[in-house]
Amino acid sequence: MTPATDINAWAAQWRTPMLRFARLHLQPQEEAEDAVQDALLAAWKGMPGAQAVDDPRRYLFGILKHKITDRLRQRYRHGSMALPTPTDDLDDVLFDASEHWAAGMAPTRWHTPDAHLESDQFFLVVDLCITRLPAKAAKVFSMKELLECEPDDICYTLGLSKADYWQSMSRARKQLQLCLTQHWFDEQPHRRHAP
Amino acid sequence: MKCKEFVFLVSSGQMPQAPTATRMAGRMHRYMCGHCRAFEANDQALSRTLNGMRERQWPPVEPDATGPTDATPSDGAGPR
Repeated sequence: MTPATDINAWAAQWRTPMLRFARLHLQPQEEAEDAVQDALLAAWKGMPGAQAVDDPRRYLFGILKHKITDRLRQRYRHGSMALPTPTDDLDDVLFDASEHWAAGMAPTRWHTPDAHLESDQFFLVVDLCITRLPAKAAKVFSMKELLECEPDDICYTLGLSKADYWQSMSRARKQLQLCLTQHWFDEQPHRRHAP
Repeated sequence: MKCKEFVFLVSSGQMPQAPTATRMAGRMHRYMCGHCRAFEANDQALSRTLNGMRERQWPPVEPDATGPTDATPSDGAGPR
């Protein structure tokens, strides 16, 4: 099998899931398609070394993640998309004037959270909660947790200070915990543990 | 340390790299505040959830069976 035949076979097998992954991070669809094509081209160019690849899936997706990150860097560093800062402050809801948990807002421990990791429905709710994040927090969170970028790279790509990065990550994780509590764990037959 | 600061340090990911005095203050606060212990436990569960989500984003071992919707080169000439 020639390198060109290899890449054709890989493209036929993996293009659709690669496109599905790219569309999580890039809009419009055409940009996601371009990223997938760039990744397949890079894989073809690297083919002599790639013939020893045991896992084409991880090889192709590793290249694709870099191509997505490159496109995000171009988009944000050239100022074509500014990230608005949320106007609401979640901390004003969660904490009182003395910076302790506000009445009714204190969390309780989720009941057997790992037991839900096999549930498609659970991950649909997780995905829904992620889509509800404010734009800046969503972008920082997505690059860190889904694209597995380093914080310094995220700050450089999005033009953020470290303080901005920490604020955005904190906002994302606090809001996600609140959302999952309200829309999943509080709905379960076995209610939450006491702390 | 107040709850708001503890929650910020945990949720932003700064706690492990914080100065010793800050980490000690956090440890004491965690010892005293059950709600913040719960928040931290839930935050760790969220991390495990995100690990699971990343695994799910990778396609299954069996690739998608539907294949591409557009034509791909089949003559061995390489990508367009």
